[in-house]
Amino acid sequence: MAEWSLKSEEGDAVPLPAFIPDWDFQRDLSLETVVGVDLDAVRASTGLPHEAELALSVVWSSTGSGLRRLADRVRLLGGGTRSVQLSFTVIGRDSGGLLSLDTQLILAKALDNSDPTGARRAGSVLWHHRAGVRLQGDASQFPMAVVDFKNAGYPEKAPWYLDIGSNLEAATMGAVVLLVNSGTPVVLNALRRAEKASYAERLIQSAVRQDVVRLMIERAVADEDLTDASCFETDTLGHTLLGLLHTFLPGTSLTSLRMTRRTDPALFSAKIQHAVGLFSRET
Amino acid sequence: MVYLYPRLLPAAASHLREEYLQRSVEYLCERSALSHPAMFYAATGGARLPEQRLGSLREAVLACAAERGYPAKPGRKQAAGFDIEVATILHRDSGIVPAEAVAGDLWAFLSLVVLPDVSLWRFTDLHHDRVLGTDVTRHVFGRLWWRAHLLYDEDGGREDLYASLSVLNESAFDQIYARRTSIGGSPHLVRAIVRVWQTLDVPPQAERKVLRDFLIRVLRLNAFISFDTLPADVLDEELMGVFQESLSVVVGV
Repeated sequence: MAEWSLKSEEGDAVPLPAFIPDWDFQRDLSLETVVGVDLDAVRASTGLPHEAELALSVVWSSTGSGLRRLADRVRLLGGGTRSVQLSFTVIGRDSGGLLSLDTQLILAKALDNSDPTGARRAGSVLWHHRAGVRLQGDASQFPMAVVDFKNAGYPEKAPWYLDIGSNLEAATMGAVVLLVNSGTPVVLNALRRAEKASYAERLIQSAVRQDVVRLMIERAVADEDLTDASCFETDTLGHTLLGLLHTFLPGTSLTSLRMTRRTDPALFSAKIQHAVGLFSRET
Repeated sequence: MVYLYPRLLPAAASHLREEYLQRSVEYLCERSALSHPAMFYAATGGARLPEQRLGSLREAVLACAAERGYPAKPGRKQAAGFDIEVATILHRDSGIVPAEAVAGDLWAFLSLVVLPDVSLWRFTDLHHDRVLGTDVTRHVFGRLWWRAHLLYDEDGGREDLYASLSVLNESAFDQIYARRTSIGGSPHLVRAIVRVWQTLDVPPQAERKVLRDFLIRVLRLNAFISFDTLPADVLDEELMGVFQESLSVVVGV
């Protein structure tokens, strides 16, 4: 059996990787493989008569949705050697987690087998091969939504907009979302491609990352209720903003940041560019 | 377009449940809302659901309850009718996709923020599995979405795509769904079981035992038979044979 191939968004077939880190359930996966079957050898080794109808099938199952479905099935009659192509698409919204691909050679129809050790029930598995791909990592992802800015009332040519809620006690995953404009596909594709991004796309990612951090730090600095001594529950917006400050600007107090922001906004901005490492990993 | 549903942080869900335990349906009706400070969304995968759609969903579910006596406590028949109708509404109209429907936090948001009054009306003890995200297969609304997803006629051959929902009662379906990995994960197999079950003449008092024996046999066969790969007519024939064995053992026919 040939290894599974994954059709990329550009239409090329690449070997199915063990992990697709930039997958989300808006992305369908088109998969294919070729299996060589020696029908005479199969019949001889499984005690099946020449007239037994066989089928080569593939069933996918997903730990993300808990679902299992037949993906493709090809009937096999007679003898000789056959090369069978299996191809199908797994719909993203049905999938997630670990996606398993079970390729099976089965007895397609029940028969009265004179061999007491031979298969007789329809669906009896004669041969089986399992492959798998992990579709989501355990690391949490930054909340992101794709929006048509023109219709949604945002500046039409802006590639992104960071929406930050006002309640510091609210859950971060609900209070923050990076809206990406579907009308600016260059940026949208750069964010979607994650680790497979081109050099230019990595530069775009770096710019977005820096801007998100800057806007969140600006949000923290602008909120006079927030102090270095403020206490918030884990996973709240206040907790995340303080964590961001400690990570990127360790040893800098909110008071001194507010002063810099007021007296020298360009320096404030440059400090964040430096802290985030704008374009530094790409050059 | 895939819409992402709001979810509720587990700590907030537990807190709300505690707060609602001794309250009335009328009080919780006043507390129902379309947003909550502890709500969040899946990181990626679609656009966030507009509040207006969440409001429409509340109205539709509330109307189902009102038809069955809400806020007065429902009888067994009323509860069963509510479950079937709401299963259809949730699956057909909500836009929730399977990859999201496994998330208990999503169902916790619906039961404790959007529809807390209806949750209490349906399950007066607000048992944690019924309203938190601890077990989707027992959740007041989550279990209904999954029941509809496994049973609806996706090929569209029937006039009522959700007709199969009324074939099995809740405890019978629970027997199937409890075997989630082996049987309940395959809509093809679950639909075939229901199709064949409809054609059988099982004495009412033996139904539970026959189904239990049948499922045990299917589980054993599952080790070396790939039910998922069989066309519907061949699968029905296979399952009919297994049901006959169960009937023979349990009922003696």
